[in-house]
Amino acid sequence: MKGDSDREVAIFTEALKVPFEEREAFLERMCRGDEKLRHRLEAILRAHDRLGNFLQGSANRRSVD
Amino acid sequence: MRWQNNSRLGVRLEYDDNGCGARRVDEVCLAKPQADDMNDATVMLAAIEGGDRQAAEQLLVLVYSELRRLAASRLAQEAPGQTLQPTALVHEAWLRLVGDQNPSFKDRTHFFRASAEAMRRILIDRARRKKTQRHGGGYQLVHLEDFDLAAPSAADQLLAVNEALDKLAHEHPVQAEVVKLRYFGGLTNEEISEILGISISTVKNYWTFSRAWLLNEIEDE
Repeated sequence: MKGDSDREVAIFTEALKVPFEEREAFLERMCRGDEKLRHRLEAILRAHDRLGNFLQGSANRRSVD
Repeated sequence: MRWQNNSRLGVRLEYDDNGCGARRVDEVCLAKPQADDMNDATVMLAAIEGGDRQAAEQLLVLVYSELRRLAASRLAQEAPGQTLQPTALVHEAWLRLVGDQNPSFKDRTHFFRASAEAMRRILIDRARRKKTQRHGGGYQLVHLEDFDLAAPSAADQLLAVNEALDKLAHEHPVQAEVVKLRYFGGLTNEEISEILGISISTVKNYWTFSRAWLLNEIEDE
């Protein structure tokens, strides 16, 4: 469980350093046939690309207005 | 059964034979009188360090009520629409409850983890109340600098993040802890690095991963 988590986070972190057009090949290489992991990471990376200001700052502002 | 006198704290702790389950059995006279809450917090921190799970819950209750009290007085003093600043509240609670007693690094760790959890509960309670009270659509007037939490409503987003965070904690407990300390506890990367015993760059990586993971989870629904 902890190993799985570490691996997922590590691949994600490394994938961000890879040029966008090489990302897919990088994921395929790193996930070594684990399709479930690859799909999950692809989704999380897509979410990363549209993060914008999501969760920036702490949970204070206007949250209680 | 063994006993330990802690002269710095001015209390006596009783330990089970296995070294766990420290609890305060009495208080000896302190050179300088202190507020009860301050004693309580310090004693609880010492007990948590001794492995007492009950003390961890007691500390959470104490910190929760102190933070609620501070939050209520802030909101009463200032203009409507006032927001809560977790960073300021948590640090003020720290000064009030532990403050100048020169606590150890581990005490800080226990305290700030409890504070982040307490702050999370306070903000979630308020968001739920807000949602129940709200009339009409889920949109609200927001100030420009708050656009990141503006659509469709900050309370909704807070609740969605909270729910997704429980799932994240299941799969990635340490990364979820980073979110709790930073997003709910208002702590800095440096403080989180200290508390979790990981490097600052690892804190940043975990934070980036968690934000993306949570956004994916929330938008996936």
